[in-house]
Amino acid sequence: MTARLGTELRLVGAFLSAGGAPRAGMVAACTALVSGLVLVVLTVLLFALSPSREREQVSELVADGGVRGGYVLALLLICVAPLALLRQVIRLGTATREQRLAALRLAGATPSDVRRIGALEVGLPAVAGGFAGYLVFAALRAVFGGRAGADVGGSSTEVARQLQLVPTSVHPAWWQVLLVALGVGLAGVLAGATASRSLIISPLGVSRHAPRGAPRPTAAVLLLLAVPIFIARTGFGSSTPELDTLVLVAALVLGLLALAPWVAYRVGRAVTARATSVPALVAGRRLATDARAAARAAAVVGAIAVVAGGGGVVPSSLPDPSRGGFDGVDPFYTVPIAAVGVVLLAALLLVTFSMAVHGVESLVDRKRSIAALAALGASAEELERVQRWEVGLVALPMAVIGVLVGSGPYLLAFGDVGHSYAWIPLLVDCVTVALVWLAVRLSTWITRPWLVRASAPANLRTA
Amino acid sequence: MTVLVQGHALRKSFARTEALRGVSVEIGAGEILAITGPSGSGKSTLLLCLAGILRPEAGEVIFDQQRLDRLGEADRTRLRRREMGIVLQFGQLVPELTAAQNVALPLLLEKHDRAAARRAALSWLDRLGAADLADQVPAELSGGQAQRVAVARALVTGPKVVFADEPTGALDTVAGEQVLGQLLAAVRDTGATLVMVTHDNRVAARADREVVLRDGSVEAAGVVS
Repeated sequence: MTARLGTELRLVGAFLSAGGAPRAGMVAACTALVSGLVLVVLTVLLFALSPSREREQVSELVADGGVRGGYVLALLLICVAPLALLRQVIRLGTATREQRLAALRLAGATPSDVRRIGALEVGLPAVAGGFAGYLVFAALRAVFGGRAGADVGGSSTEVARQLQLVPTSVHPAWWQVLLVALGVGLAGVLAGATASRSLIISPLGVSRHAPRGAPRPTAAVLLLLAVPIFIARTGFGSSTPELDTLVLVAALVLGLLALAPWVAYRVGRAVTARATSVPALVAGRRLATDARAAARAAAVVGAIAVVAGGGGVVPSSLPDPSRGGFDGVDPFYTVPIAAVGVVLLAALLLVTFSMAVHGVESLVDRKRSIAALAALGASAEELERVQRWEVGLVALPMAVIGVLVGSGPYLLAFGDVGHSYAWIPLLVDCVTVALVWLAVRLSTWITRPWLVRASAPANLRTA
Repeated sequence: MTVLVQGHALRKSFARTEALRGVSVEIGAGEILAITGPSGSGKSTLLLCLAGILRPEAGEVIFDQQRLDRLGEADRTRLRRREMGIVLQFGQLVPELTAAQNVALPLLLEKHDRAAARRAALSWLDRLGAADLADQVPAELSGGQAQRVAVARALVTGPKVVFADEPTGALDTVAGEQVLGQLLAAVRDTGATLVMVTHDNRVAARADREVVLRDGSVEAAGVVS
């Protein structure tokens, strides 16, 4: 048993040193980020239970029990972006890894041996990242840590206080840190296992179970669930408004994440039916035949957009035109809004990488047909446009749906034509969609070297 | 006979391997030329250089009185999609597109109207006895069927020359014979030139002329008897 584990660990070490290190590094980076954020959540919860919490100066988001739940949910929602990137990163180098696993089967490895080696390849860096998450936590604690002592006045110190988002008077116990690291590592292993669950690895190569049918819009149920919550929250004076808001945001985010494959599929079909250019036709057909891969990469865009759309409504209600507009708005509101903006930008950056990883995998998988397209006379720009359309056809509709779902109901319910600041939500919506468009372009730009390699004539002769 | 494609003193290396060592070849308009030779002799490299897909390190490639080797990547690409058809060993169809969409691709790349491109694609599929495959994706096609679709794709623009790299190399004898017969009939009908790489003597025997390569040099050239 020990000898077998030793052999498998040596094999994994050899695979990592033979080109798997970037993937392992990215897996570890994703789990480190998630682990660090979960440790912050744990610290906030420990702070809530701490009898000495009054003695620490922290942001109202941490100190006020009424909004603390929302803060914790926001931290957990931030984890969605690195987890989505983790799902993508695990698929890096799929073709090479599958060939290697088939070769191992040919050399005498059993299916369970191969599964275990695959799990170790993801699990080891995932757990290592889980432990490295403590460093992320320590860094966040150092930058955003609370200060011991009494509250002092002044608007600049008030801004600083609202940025003290991590309590320092409490600290997770060693076994809690261990549990978080192992738990996040396990999440990485599970993500790896789900990524390869459709594979049948035989000594002759890798085949896949029959593809699932076309995606269905069943996730719309979650979005529909949000409707009565929204009505109760806004129209009937709910007795639990904070809880309602948390459930509403969670339902919208999860609903949009799950709806992405269906949106990709429908958009792919619609574009294919009307395409007049090769990039639109090829990208549309790619989505119509396998919507899930691109949707997996761009789904988080919907979650980002719904939060941005909903969040964009808040600033429009804060300024008072009769008291100098934005002057004098309490940092209690402005600092969290700015923090949400920064977090959304960071999440969009992670999604950009996620889309780039999808682009790379798409290019590696399709190098033969891409090389053939180049040989037929498709220019480098046209081939790049195929890649851009493939992710853009998912990301941009998800962004539009997200901002409409996020801000639409509020604008419909409270949209006052005479309101001096009614333009703010619309501006936030437009900026969000524009940033998603930029993210799509950036992700395609990142994949350019792989596109050049995929269109090389050498790929014309591969079987 | 007017010379359509000319390669002169072509040299091409990959890492330390010299694939072509000063190969010269002339191909007349409407001619069917077979390039043969053992594995690694430089057959495919020569074909890809003549088609402007690879750029030789030395020597000249002249297509229809134009120096192909002097054109930039974008110009070579445009010329290729207007004037040349390409057939590769494994068909190399775009897996997500239907057979008809694959055949229409070169026309769509040339910004032809979608409906007109589809009509032309269906017409060529019909001509090659593959009309019933129009709405199938490559995964649903046999090797021979996929190769017939690839032949239709190569001919749909009415090219002056078709370059075929082992067009029957991945097919069984019967399917190979069928595809070859259809390819030859189609190029003869249209008056196009055909340059095909093959290691199969039976395929080479159907050409007008044969160029034999060995170790990157022309070993023999002559009319097929």
